[in-house]
Formats: sequence, structure tokens, C-alpha cells
Amino acid sequence: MDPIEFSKIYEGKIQVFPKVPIKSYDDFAVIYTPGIAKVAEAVHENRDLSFSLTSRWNTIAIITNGSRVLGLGNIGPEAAMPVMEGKALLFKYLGGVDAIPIPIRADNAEDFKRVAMAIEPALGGINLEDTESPLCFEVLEELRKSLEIPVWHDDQLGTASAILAGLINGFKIAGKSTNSAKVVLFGAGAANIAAANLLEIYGFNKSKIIMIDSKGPLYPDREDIDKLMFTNKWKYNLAVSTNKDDSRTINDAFNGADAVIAASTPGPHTIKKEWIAKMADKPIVFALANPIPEIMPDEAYDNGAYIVATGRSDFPNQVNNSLVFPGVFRGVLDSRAKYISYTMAIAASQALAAYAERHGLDRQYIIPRMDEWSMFYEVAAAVADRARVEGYARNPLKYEEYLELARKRIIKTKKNIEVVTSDDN
Amino acid sequence: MTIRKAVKSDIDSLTDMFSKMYILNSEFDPLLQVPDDIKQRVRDSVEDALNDEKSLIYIYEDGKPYAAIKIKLDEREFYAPSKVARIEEFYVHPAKRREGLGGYFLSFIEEELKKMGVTLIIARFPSKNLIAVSFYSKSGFREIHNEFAKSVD
Repeated sequence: MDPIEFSKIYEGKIQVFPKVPIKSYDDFAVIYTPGIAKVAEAVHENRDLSFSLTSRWNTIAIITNGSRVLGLGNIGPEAAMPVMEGKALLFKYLGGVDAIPIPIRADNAEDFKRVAMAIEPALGGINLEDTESPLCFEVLEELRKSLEIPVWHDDQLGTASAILAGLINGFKIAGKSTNSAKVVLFGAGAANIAAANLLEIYGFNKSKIIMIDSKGPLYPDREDIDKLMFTNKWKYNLAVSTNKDDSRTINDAFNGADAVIAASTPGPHTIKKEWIAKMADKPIVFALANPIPEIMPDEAYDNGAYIVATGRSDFPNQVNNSLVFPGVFRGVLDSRAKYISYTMAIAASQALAAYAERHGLDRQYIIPRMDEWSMFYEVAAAVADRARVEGYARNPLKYEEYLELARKRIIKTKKNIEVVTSDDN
Repeated sequence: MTIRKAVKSDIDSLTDMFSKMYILNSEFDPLLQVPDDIKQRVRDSVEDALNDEKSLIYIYEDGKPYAAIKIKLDEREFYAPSKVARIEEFYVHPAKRREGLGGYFLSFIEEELKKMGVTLIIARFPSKNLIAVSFYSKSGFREIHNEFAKSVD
């Protein structure tokens, strides 16, 4: 169906819906005034009760300024709304999370921080979305420092966690070791910069990672590196800490590389087949640009690729943040985490990788598919458990309890959605 | 790891480092644009300085040159102390930043200057280079002059 016709029929994709039955007139005295004053007083005395006496425990905001929406660029907050509504639907359907889309007028980190701090009392978490780089790094860093609820930027950490999950299994199948691997990160935007940091924390050797941007590999001697120190310190930090071999051309970077992770511009020839041919034995190729991968899987295989993953659902091995964010937020909400650490993101990757491994790894299956719903429960439980271990959980439970909680909550949500959206209604 | 006086064979790396400093400066203000032949100009000035007893160039080396400083000894006519050292160029290679190398290098220079009887060091850099502002402030420098510029083009 035409998406505009579709949107006209439904007039948007989400709504606020009560979950409390209203059976008699008297119920209003409990739901609202005068009875509700008691609840307000209780929360006033102990603000933490806002997580258990209100819906805060399951509510997050999706914040964006609309400066980098899908591949559309800076289209502004109003135009970002349909996309954020879609994301909210995914949050609810896949993770049972009540996500409120809040596109805002903001063009600097200070504005984001003011908004986020102002609305924090209503929220159990914040998902930052579709905001341009490098502003998104600064915003995420600021919010993680200032707020007592978990803040996540899906285009950074979501994608990076999915990449890591795929790499863990890809390396396993190819029989490669992560700490001696040469990894090329093709594209130096939000996803790959986060991926570089996540890979390092996981155990990849940072000095053997090479980042490539539109001007070629990043290395400390490159002419524009000094400027980068002021314009994009996150990219700068990687420029001076990666690529210890000092590769200066894309050819050199690919030469002997064990894996290439491309999160750059749509293909099909953004990555040249000659580059793939220069890689090490059993090379792993992630071409994640949408809608057209940087190199088509067939062409990559023809030039020696051993495992290929893309961002698309119509090819095997879809590496996509949708595998990650529903479970991550289910997990931080169920554990009432104050924070999402990089190691919690790694726990999500490991849970995904373990799920796929249990279901039979092969070159066409290194990562779960989005419709393997029970994977989301496992990601949630792994993240929640890790939050507890790291001391961020305000609701510390056992792994099995988190797993059961996530399962129940997600299944219940799906049933509710079926009822509310059925043709009879 | 060693700090030593620059010699003729350092001209290439000095030219590279100091040119990068000027190119970076050009990012901070349109009135700090650099000419196309910046590298040649820097090279000429480095060559001159190596033959000038009023100029000092030091290099920090760890396998290869990683930082360099060029200083001009000068006299202030109307202020005391009159003997001053002006830092004209100072560059630390990106790979060696954030390790305290700049501060270490600077304190070495301070000791050298003291031996020569120079007790005041002056540094000049773009106001908007906040990293330089922070570096010099932390190293005990303070603002004594403002340089305002207006284009009357």
C-alpha cells in the first residue's frame, strides 16, 4: 500500500491507551482526584516510587532534532515525526516498551540537554535518534553524564552492538581470533565510530583497526587531523589511536584485512571488488548501507568473501539495530537501570551471538533474524543482568527472573496490540 | 626520547610540523588564512632561524621527530623585564598528544631560557584555539595583551 495513503487511513501509528479498566463511576475517584493525591504524596516522599506507582518504569522518549533522518539528511523535527512514530511502534511491538516520539527544535548539545533534563522525571530512559554526527556524540556524552536514566543512541550503539554480534560469530565460523584481527571500518560516521570503541572494549586490537572516511584511511599524519581535533574529537581520537601500520591508501588498508565493516554510502560499487580480493583468507564483509549495500553479496563472494552480511532483510545475515534496541530497552527498564554502559551493549551483542549459535551457525546465519522473537527476551535479560552486575540496576533480580519478566511483558504487549488493532475495533 | 637542538637535516620535518600549525590556525579565523606557498615560506623561515643566533629551535624525538618549538629571543623596549622569548611555532604530533609531552617540552625550554637569563616567555596563538588557551593557562601563562583585528577591505 502507498505509505501516504496508509498514514492517512490510520492518522499516525501510535496512541496513548489506558490499561486500567473503568467499571464504574467510583473508579474515577481512585484513578484521578481525590484518591490519586495519596499516590502523588507517596511519590513526593520517595521519588523512586515514580517507577513503581506510575508508568514511568516502561516509558521512554525518542528524541531527535531531525538532522539526519534515514538517508534523507536534515529534514527537521516535523518531518522526522513519521519515522519516530514507526520506531515507537517497533519499540512497543518488539520490546513492549512505551516509547513517546519527541522530535525537538534543537541545534546544539545544550538545547538537547535542557530538554532531556526537563522531561527526565517522566521517563525510564531516552533513545536518541537520527541526529547528525558529530553533534550526536556530544549529545550522548552530555546526557549520559547528566541524567539518572539510561540514554542510548541507536544509530551509534544499536548498530555497533549488532555489528559486534555478527563479528563474534563470523570470527568463530571463519576460525579467526579477535585480538589479532585486522579490521577495516569503512565509513566514519556514528555507527562505525561507536563500533570501533565497542570492538576495542570487547577485545579487538585497536591498533589493527583502520577507519576509512571519504578522504581515505585515517592516520595521525593526515593533513586534516589537526582540524579534526576541534571539529570531531571522537573521530580524531580514533585517527590517532588506530592504524598503527600507517596505511595511507584504501588498498593498503584492505590488504590482509580479516574483516571489513562498511557503514557508509549506498553501493553497489562503493566498495570495489579488487579491495575484497586483497583481504586475508576467509574474509568477512559487512556491507550495511541501505537500500543498496556498498558491495552486493554476490560480487563480494565472487571475490573471495567468506561471510557476507548486509543491512537488508531480503539477504541472509541482516545486521540491523532492530535486533538490539527492543531487548536493550526491555532490559534497562526491567532492571530500572540508571545507565547503559558499553559493556551492557556488549552483553546484548553476546546474547545475540549466543542465540544464533544455539540455533545452528553457518555462513548464511551468523546473527538471529528479526522474527526470532525469543531473542529479544534473551537480549533483555542479558542487559538487565549486566546492569545488576555493574551496579546500575535499581531493581536487581536474577537472570532467569529478568528473562521471564521480559518474555511475559513482550508477549502481553503483542496480545494487547492484536486486540486493539483488530478489524473489529 | 630526547629533546635536542634542531639541525639542518631536520628542515623537512620542521617544515611539515610548523606548516600544519599555520594551516590549523587558519581554521580559527578568516583573517588567519594561509597563502598557497605556506610550506615554502615556513621552510625559508626555518632555514633563516637555523642561521640566526636570536632563534632557537628544539625537537623532541622518539625514533622520529614528534614535536618542535621555535623561539625568538627579543627585547621589549618599554617594559621590564626586557629580555623575552617569543614562542613562534610549537607543534606536537597528533600521535603523541595527551601524554603531557607539550608540558614536559615547555618546562625543558623554561630551564634552557633561565640559563640564558631570559625570564619571560610569550606565546601567541588564535584566541579561538581553546585547546591552546587551556594548555598555556595550565602551564602558568596568562593573558597580558589582546590583539584585535578588523578587516577594512
